[in-house]
Amino acid sequence: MAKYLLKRFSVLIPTFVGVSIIAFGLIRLVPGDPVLVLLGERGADPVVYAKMQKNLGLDQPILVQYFKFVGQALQGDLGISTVSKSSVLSEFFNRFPATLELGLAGLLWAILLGVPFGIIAAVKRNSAFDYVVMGGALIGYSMPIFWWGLILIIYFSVGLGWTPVSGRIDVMFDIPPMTGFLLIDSLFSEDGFAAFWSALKHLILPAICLGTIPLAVIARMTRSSMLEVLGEDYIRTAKAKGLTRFEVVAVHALRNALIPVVTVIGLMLGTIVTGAILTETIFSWPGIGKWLVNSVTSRDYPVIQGGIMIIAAMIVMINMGVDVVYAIVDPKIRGKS
Amino acid sequence: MSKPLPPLKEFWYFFRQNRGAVIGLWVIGLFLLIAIFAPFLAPYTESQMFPDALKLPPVWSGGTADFIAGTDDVGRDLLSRLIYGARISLGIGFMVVLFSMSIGASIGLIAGYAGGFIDGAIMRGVDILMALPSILLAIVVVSILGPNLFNAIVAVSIVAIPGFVRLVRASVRSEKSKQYVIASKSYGASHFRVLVKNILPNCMAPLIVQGALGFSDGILNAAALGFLGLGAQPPTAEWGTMLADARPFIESSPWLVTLPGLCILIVVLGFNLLGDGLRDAFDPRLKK
Amino acid sequence: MSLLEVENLTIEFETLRGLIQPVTGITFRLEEGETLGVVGESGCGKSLTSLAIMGLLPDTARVTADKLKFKGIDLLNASDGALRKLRGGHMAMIFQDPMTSLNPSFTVQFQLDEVLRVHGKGDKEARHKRSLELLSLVGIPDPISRMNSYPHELSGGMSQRVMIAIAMACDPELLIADEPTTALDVTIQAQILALLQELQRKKNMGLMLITHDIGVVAEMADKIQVMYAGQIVETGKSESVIQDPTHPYTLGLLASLPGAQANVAHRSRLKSIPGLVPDLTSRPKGCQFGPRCEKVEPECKLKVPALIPVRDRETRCIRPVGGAR
Repeated sequence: MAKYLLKRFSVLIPTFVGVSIIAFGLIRLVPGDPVLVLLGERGADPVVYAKMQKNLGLDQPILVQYFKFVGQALQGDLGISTVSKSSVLSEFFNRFPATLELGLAGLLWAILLGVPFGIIAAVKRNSAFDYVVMGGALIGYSMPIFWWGLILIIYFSVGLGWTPVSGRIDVMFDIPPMTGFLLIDSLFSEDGFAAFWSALKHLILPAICLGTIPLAVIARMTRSSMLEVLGEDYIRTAKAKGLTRFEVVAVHALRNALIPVVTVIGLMLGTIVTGAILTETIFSWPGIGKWLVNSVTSRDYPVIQGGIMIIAAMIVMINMGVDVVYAIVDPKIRGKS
Repeated sequence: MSKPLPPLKEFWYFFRQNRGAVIGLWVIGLFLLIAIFAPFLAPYTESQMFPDALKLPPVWSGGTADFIAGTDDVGRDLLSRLIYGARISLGIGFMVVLFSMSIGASIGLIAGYAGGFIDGAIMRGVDILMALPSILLAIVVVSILGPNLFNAIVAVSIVAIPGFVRLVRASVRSEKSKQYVIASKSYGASHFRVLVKNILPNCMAPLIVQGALGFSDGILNAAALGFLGLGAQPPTAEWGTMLADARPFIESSPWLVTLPGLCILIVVLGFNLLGDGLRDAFDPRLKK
Repeated sequence: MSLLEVENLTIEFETLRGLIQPVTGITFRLEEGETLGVVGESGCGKSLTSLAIMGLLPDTARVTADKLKFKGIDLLNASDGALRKLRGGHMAMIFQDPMTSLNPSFTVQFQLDEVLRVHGKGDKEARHKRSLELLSLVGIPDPISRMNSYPHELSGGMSQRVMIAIAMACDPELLIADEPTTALDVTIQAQILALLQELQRKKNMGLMLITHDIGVVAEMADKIQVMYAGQIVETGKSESVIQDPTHPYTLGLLASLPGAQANVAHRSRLKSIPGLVPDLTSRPKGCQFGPRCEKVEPECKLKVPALIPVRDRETRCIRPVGGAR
């Protein structure tokens, strides 16, 4: 087991190096002089120019620049945003809870709906339910979610008036930050449940929007995995023992069928981040995605660099975590090492 | 036992069995025709403005027959813009698949065939690209190159490359150890000949499937970039960009939002249906 | 009342290429404490017959029979609940591949305890005791530590012993063993068969032993039933069938058995039966074995021969072989 973990960890290092090179190279690959690009052609005051050059770390030989960049990054110094003039890392962590809350809510919605739908579709194979779920999953899988979010707004916010159009919570509520999750913090605020209700109403549509593609993927994966397991010999054994149909599915099939589904959910992080970038833009959700898109539009390179590094690092680590958890859960791998 | 059909006929037989795939093919065919004959089908050009007809609703919700799908905020005919948009979106899909498949397959061939250090280095690079979510990676590329339609195509192509590299590399590695490749090498065939003549045709099937899915991903990602303002710029009649333009009028003129997105969904769905159908038709395991 | 009564059992499947009938009109009985050997090549309907008795066929199968009774209970019309009580409780089954027949995600203890729990055999403690007893019964060394093993930690032979323990858990009156040794090493095969025989005698079970190897049943079975293309082609007392086969197919099976020729009327070299089992979508006319039979006559192709009494058994051939010893 220890050997396995060590092997998994050693693969990470080149990946981190690669990501750092991409982030580092980003600003230097911009055609033309990045400082001039940032300052605008006419603002080439030599003092300002030198200051900017220093801020971006462009005044030294390239290798020195790179090692300095990595060294600072390892110490948590990802530079200063050229727009807000505050530290990239602290800006990231100010916004991160909002994205995490949205992502978890979307994933929860996708799992709570996708897994049962997939199971029932597999058990009732070729039924009307199966066709509807699989047809829906195919549409969900093909969904341009930036459009889907707008459609949800047209029907539920504008049409029915059930949910707010944008933001995380009504402006009248002032929530002192504790965990960063508004659903939790609101309950501890002065307004208590009213604030919580407002936060929840703001969360529902973005979470559904973000969860659409994961929902489709999970439902399809669960169904096909379940179908495969239901054809296994040990399912026949379970039936031969005199178990009910429900026990056979819920005890013997489900456990094995969910192993690949859990893996897929773990590897869905990239989809969620992509979804978050689009969803946050649609619903003006103050998270990482919107922050990054804005930084591209305003050419805030330190923010782009830092954001990419942190997100890539998180994804790589979580993917590894999934592998490790998988190794722990699956008795076959666990037993062998 | 019946005689086995020739491969192409057999493939077509199984493809025809898959209702979804056939529907997908029809949808794509229809949009392809629309794209090709856009100037004949569209009532106006994509940029022609009618100042007297701003934000006119479609004919089914009280508009006029002059502008069947209504008009946008500067009085352009929505139907014409959607028809010309088919050109752009299918063009994007085609370019993305062309770029990413040719580059990705070449890199995959080299990695799989060379093995050793070259393979290791290439695959680490692929891992890194795959560690970044597709839109984020595209954002990186666009932030370097600047936002416009061509750069969006480049960005989306780069995003799609790792998939092709992995696929071709895996095929090459499994084919490489087979008897006939070893045999043709023993006849003194050159490396290149072995690669191109023997290996490439054998990984055609998964490549075609990935190509169909690459179309849908490419169109979707490019539209997403357009929507974020990082892809095609207004006044280009790109569906994603049109969505972004229409956002301020979401309450007053919902059709400006509904119709372009519906077009994206239908085209992407068509390619996904086709891809799934192709995979089933190629996969011998499912044929039983 | 017999333990198991099967009359005119037919199994049909609707396929893309039309309706197929892998099992057509099977009739047999099994008494308490009796061992029935069912023999035939793969695809002859042996396994389907046993799955039909257990009620384990997929929903797509259409099962019809004039009679399908276990201890007088009509299996075709019994309620789901009643059938579940029988399965695992009164009739049990073990399968060909023990490695895939145990659930990889659960320990031996869980899988053994489950069948006891479902059939209400005592509280947790009693069931634990019983589980250990069962593991000893099937000859598993160190049962206490084996209880916590996962299936992948067991060898094939051990897995099949665990499967037998699960099958024996509720002292069933009928045990169906579907090719229980095919997936195992030769040395283990004999051990497992000996174990089955011992358990059958000890508990006076009805045992239905399904195999493609006529040599296996020769020693163990009281009765033998030879199946071909979904029909019984010969059935009778074990010694009679082995010593003096009446159907050319039985003869062929015996002749293809190494070392068994000495007992057979035809002392010849090791032979295989030419040809293949018929395709179920295009069955031959007349005798199903006709296309592969050395002694086929034009009359054989007229209609499917009936099962007729010949000497001390029944056979499905218009020109029974042997007899003139």
